[in-house]
Amino acid sequence: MQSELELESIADDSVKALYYSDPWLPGFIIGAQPYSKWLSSNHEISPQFPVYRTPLPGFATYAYNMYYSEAPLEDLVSIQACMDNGYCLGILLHYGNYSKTVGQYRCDREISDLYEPNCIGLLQVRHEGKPQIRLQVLDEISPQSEPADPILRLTHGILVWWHSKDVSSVSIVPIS
Amino acid sequence: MLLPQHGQKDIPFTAPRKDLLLHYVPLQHASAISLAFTSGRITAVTSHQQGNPQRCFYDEADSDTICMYCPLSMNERIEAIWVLRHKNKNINLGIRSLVVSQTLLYMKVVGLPK
Repeated sequence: MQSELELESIADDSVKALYYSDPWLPGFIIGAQPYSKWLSSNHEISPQFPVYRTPLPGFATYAYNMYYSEAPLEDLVSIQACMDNGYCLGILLHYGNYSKTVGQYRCDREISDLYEPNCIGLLQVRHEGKPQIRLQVLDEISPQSEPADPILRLTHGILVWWHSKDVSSVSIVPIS
Repeated sequence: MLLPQHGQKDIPFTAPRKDLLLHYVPLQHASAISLAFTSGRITAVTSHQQGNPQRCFYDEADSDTICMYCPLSMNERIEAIWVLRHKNKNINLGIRSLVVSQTLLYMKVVGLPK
């Protein structure tokens, strides 16, 4: 299905701003305003077509409502979670010089303190029949309270996060 | 539609095409870009500045909207931006994704391609 889609360049390194029209009107446009073409390095960069490391989760009712994100766990310095009613919508991963997000990360929701990655795990749970994610502080786990479901520890591999409005599914895949 | 020409100084952004409202998203000093998706298509874009999380962006989101956040490295310039769209421009499936490249960061934000 990916062959029906293409990546279209809208900006190079001289980008100053983006603009877009009303997405619900015909002829939706999105583009970029450059500073100046003389600032452009004219350095051609080849885009990488988005690919998915895991298939669409089986619970997905409609494919068009599912969203995909991923982030490596190597060289991770700290993480912050975006929380909603005790469930984790997504996380912001800090690598020192740059950051990435997986899942849904919204500034209007509760943003957690910074955690060191080896102090935190992700727990796939079900709430009202829907798969969601809980954050597990590893220090708080005693042998007696170890959850039945496996905790995803953020140590190695690539964190893959599928989500829609009210469901999330995470997995860790090895680096290929 | 006319945009400020290359080399011109800051000119207030205008959209001369009749009845066309354009949303303007400055990227100067932006610490992140947020995208709102509905049914797999981008419906709104905003930029965040350090210390200004732009919470009003979420006020306009309806209950079905998914918001995704793309942090930018403040120490590096954006190298390139692409949009992911249907090859056939006559098929109005909207923009499925925005891809932003910086030297250290390659950010893909994806509504599932169909």
